[in-house]
Amino acid sequence: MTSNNMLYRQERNPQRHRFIRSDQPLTLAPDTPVFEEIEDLRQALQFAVSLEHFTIPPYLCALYSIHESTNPEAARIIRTVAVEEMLHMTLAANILNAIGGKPVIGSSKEPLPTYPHEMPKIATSFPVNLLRFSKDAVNTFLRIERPAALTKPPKTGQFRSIGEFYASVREALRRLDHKAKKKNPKGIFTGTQKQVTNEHYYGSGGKLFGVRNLDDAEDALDEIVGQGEGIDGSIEDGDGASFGDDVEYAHYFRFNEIFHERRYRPHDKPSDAPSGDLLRVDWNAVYNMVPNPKMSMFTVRPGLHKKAREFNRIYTKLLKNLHNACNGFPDALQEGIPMMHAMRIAAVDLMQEPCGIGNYTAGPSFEIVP
Amino acid sequence: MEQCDYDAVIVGSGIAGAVIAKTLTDAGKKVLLLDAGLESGMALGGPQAYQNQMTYLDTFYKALAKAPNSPYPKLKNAPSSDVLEVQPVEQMDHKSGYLVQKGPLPFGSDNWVGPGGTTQHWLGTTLRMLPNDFQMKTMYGHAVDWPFRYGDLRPYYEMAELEIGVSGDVADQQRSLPNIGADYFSSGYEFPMKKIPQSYLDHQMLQLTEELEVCNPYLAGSHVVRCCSTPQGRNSDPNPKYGFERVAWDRIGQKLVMKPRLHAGYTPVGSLWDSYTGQRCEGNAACVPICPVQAKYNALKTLKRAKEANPYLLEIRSQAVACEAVVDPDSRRISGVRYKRYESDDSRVYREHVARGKVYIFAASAIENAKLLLASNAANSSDQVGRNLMDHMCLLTWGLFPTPVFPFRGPGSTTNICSFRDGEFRREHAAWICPIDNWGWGWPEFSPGSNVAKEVANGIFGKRLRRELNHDLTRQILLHFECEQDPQPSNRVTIDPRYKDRIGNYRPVIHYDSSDYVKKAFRAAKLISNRIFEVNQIMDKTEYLVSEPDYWEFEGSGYTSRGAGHIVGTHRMGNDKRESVVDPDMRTWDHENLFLAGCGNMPTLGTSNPTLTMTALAFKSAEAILRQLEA
Amino acid sequence: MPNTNLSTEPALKDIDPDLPIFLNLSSKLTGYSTDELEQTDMLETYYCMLMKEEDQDGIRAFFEKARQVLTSLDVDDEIKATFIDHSPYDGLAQRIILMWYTGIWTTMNQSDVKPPQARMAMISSQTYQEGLIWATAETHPAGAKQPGYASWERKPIPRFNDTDGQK
Repeated sequence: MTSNNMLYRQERNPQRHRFIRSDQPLTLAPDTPVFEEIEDLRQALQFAVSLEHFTIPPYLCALYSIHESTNPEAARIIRTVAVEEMLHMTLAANILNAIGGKPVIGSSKEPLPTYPHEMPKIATSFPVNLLRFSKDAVNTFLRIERPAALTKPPKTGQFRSIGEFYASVREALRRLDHKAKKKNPKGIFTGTQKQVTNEHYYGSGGKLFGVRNLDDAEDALDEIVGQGEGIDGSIEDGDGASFGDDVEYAHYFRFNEIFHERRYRPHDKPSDAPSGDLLRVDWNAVYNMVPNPKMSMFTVRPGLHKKAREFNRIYTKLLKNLHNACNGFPDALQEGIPMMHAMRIAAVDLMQEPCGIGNYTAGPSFEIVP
Repeated sequence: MEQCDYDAVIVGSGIAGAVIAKTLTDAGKKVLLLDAGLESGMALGGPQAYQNQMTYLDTFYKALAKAPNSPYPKLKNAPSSDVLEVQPVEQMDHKSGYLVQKGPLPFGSDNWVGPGGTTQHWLGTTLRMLPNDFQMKTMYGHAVDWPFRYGDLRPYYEMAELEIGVSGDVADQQRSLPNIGADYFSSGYEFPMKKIPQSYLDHQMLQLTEELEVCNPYLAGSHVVRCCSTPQGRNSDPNPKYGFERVAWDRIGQKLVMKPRLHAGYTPVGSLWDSYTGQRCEGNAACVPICPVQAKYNALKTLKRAKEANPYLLEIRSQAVACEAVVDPDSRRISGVRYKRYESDDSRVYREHVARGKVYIFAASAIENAKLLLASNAANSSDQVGRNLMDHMCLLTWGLFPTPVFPFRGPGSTTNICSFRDGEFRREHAAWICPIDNWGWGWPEFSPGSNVAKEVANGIFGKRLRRELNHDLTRQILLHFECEQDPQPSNRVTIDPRYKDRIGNYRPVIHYDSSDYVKKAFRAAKLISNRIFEVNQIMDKTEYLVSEPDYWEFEGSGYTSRGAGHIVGTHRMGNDKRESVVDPDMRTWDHENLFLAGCGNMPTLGTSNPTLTMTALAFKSAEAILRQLEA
Repeated sequence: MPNTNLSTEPALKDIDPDLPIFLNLSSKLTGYSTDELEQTDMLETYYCMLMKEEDQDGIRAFFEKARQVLTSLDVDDEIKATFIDHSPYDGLAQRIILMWYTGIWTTMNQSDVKPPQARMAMISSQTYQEGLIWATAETHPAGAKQPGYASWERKPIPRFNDTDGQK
């Protein structure tokens, strides 16, 4: 185990992970899609990278639309979640690197959906939009993070939830590594590219680490799923103290606090709405960003269009930078950090200018530009 | 011995007081810490700490003059000096303001009285002193020698660098610093974090300035200019090789030791309210006066750790202004500290109390410590209390670089010219360090705001205004030659019953002047600056105005001096009780249970910002205090 | 408070005809495009400042003059002659430029004391942060809009890309 991981394990909060990793064999539902071979698994992990990537622009739009110095709690929660999604994206890329794959970010080989769009491969029926901070936006986040209590069965090749997808990834990792270890002590973990660790990316609580073997990969998945849903799909089943100051609970519950404008009490049930102290939210202290902005909406105002394009120029450059960082050059991330800050400033500038559509202002469209 | 509630009573919550409080409570001692500032300002975490920072920021944004104390509350019951009050001495009205400036030169530096002390507004530069700084008399026939050598202080420097969290590069310093010898750093020493990246501006300046040969009018031969990255107490990438975890009291060996980490590495300490915030410097470029994300160290971080580790051993009492040490007439021991506790800064109403402990530590800052001792008639058989007040007198030079260098970004300074920090020239004139400033002409000319005001007053507007401002602002270069002041007994802090503040405490009365030792350094520095500008094709825009408060003329040229905020010397250490106030452990000669902490202990200033040194001294005296308590 | 809000009431610029004049004149005075000025979100704040602080009749006359000047053949020359030379209206045009660049409003006293006394104040913490001077210097307001770790090591990413200016 790398010393990085040892540090991480010591700092892990045992309570948070209580619901997640059991050492019992993993059983998937009979209709859960399975990743048969190593190439399928690599594609699945690439999909994981793209999926995490997909969730980030909606969080950022909501975050940037909150007026400066207002809604500090909500802003902090969304910012933390966005940072953690970037962490998940990077962890998935690290796993993919570890099993000899090459992550793709932001190039034509990674087709990025434009918003509104449904989440690919996950059996949900709601579109994901780029929205200003609002109950609608937070509701979308809840549905992204929550395992769907299904009212309709998934189509072939679809997963019930993000959690189920990662369960299948975990199953494949275990099965294929076990098989490969018969011939090679490294199993499927043959990758040699340098990975991204918390030396290169900070502010996520030091939970970013390199993946060198199955244990590391499982730790990474624990991190992703633990922060995401928290309870392996069994959200309704938790008992005992799930919440409180010492427990760092999953994204779903944090969003629920914003939605209901209340904090959880230590003995609240996960299936209930939070019943604790008020969490103040001012839903009006936001920029009135046009939903699902597109550069093409602003062509009648050349100055605005230029700015919208400038945002996308920086975004495109950032994706290239992330791509390089995840493909053996993690130090490149140092150049990416100022780009993220510049994106924030450009996004707020856009949200401050009326765009000529109703009372709306413009906004960042997260489109790749050549 | 009378009943004492506490093992130690500490006056002051700046870095010296905080470090001693933490070290003592970590060793199981009961400590009372008195702070003069607002109780709300002492919030060490949670929503109140966040709210305080937001309030300070809001005040800062709205301030017209972005002076070092501008974000922070101006308390009438616990006043701080303010650079905005500095004027030529003839013009000063002693009725208003805090410092009573008797001159001949006004003392141009400030500090802050309040939770965390001056570390709230400090830049964060953490330089160790050089070996020869400790033996100026022996080496160069000037000033005095310290009562111990650099090597004796070295282990405490390491503790200070851990406590503050210093980002720096050992190899850089070993390569560039003059006359440090092979033992400047202990073998294999690493800083907790990698150096703060040097600025784009630095890189442009370094190209022709590094290795430049220059001449000094007071010394034959030429000298080579060397530059070095500046170590600072500001979060950057952790150093995976850093090996220490904490400072601990070894009861058996009766000394402080540094405990090694199980696995090498370091976790940056973020803001008080949220550890994820402030993990790295984010380039706010406002270190002085405030770091919005608290990537810069401030002493409240130490108090927070102390309070979390030993909540029942450390008691912090706010809105408590110490006014007198009570001296037992027979034993000459200190039997209490009298302090005034005010309800609110809106009124002058206060109640007096006495705090008692076995040992007393005054850590109220160099000027305030002197004031307190003089008011108590304590510790002054040497007549040195308040004397030898020193600062770095700064010669600023500024101009326009030929191509854009993009100032007003990053920490205040990331590189310094270090070749004149020591050398034979110290027989003739003061040494200096010259930080390369990243913030344009802000200090001497209040840029960038003043630039637009000037252009507009000249009738420039529109695209031309934008273009001309862009052209000049992106090229602004500033150097400051921070010259070591020599100790002069006539440079001093005194008290006078005519000058008191709202609750009846003394206002410091300052007598201050420069000396030829410094003035010669100014002349030499200006000539060297001229050469640096010439080689870099920097258009010199330096101007010293007769109307400025600290203007003087020397050998036919005029210079303006500015204070760096490095206030030291007012209760210096020594081996001889007739010439010093404290012994090498910083215990006052006159009162065996009174220790003094802070920059006032320093017999010479050298060319480093004094905070790191006084923090090392704080650890050293904490060790002595623990020995004394356990004897 | 930032101006863009969710109310369904008509925007100020749709009901006050002097506001677009103020925007266009400000663009000419500052050298920044109307889009760039709007992106600071300070247009209404500054306009309201003017309305509140200045003599009402004087302001209306000022805007009437501005309306004429903005339609003239050589706008820059007309602006110089009308508003810059001799600093009419207590140097209002210069005070508007300073307001956009620094977020500071300068009040000239209304009494008969000559020369007029100026009193300066930062209008709000937002106006400080949105001051154009920072983008002009290709940086950010000190203490805000931070560009990120290590950003100072390389050239800045400018907020407003100047297509007209020379570098």
